Amino acid sequence: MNAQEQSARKAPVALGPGEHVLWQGFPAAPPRIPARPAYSVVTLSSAFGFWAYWMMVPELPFLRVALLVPILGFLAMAAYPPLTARRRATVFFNSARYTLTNQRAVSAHAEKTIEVPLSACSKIHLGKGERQNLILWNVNGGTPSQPVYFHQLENGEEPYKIAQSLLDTLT
Amino acid sequence: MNIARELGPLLKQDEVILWQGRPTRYFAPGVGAFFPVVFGLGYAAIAGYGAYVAFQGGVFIMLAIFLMILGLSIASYALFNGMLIRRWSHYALTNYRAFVMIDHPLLGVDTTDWPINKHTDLRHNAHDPMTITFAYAPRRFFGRSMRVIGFEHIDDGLNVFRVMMDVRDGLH
Repeated sequence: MNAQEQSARKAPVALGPGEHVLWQGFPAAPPRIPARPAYSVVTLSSAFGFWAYWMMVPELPFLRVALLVPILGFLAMAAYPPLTARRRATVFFNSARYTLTNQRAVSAHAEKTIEVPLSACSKIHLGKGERQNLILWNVNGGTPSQPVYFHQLENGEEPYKIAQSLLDTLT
Repeated sequence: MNIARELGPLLKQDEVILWQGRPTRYFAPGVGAFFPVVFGLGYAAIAGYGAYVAFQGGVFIMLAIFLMILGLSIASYALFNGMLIRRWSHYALTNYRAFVMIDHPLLGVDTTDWPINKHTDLRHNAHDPMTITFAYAPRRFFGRSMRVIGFEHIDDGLNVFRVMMDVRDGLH
């Protein structure tokens, strides 16, 4: 992403009264999707196993029809990463913008915006690895109960420390 | 595991441990285990055994064994994972937070703390031993869905629940 694209994406979020931005960032890479070889081996071999059983029972048409469900299901699971998830991840990567204010955490991309109001009930988790995922959520299950994910951050420690110090002041 | 020693460095200055305990160690799979067990056994029986019978001999036998092990693993995980996690778990309650510690034999001690305050959604079931829930957390592999966090299968649950209500109402 060049500097022009970055500044265009840094357009301010609509802030409420008394709200100010503490940190803003973007994913450094598309979110990880289940495209590893193990996933393909498991889904394709599962489909193959059910298909083998399907071949064995030609005299039982009802069972054959029922067996089509797992066969097609596992084939669809095998096809999902290359056909759909990869495209969605690219759309997400090209438009995602993460914002942390003194009142909420916002994850916005071309298809959806999710936000979590920060309070004494908020919790934060930083994943491991070279590019980290940061998760913020409310533990009391209040509305909205969905967690906010900051995916694939280049330097996840920075927003983590900012959010943690903010949560310490709220508790 | 010594709870006081594990938690000592994590506690605030005016924070005191009000209760500590462990879940029961019984084998007690929940209702949620039903579908994975049926799926895993069905998978092993149909996909694994089907492949085994269809391809007598040759390299596909390995595939059949792999599918059978996969199906049985799914069923076993659903049946025994809860009991193993409970056997490795330690719980503690302070005047600010609830601690859940899992002393995993391979991964080490994993400690998480959950705030107990006026916003906390405290619930318990009617079973003995009792499960008290007080928080929600994202599921690791299932995106945006949440799982319930709590003290599972504890003896003397009603008294613990009363202490937790006092903590929630700021009486400690």
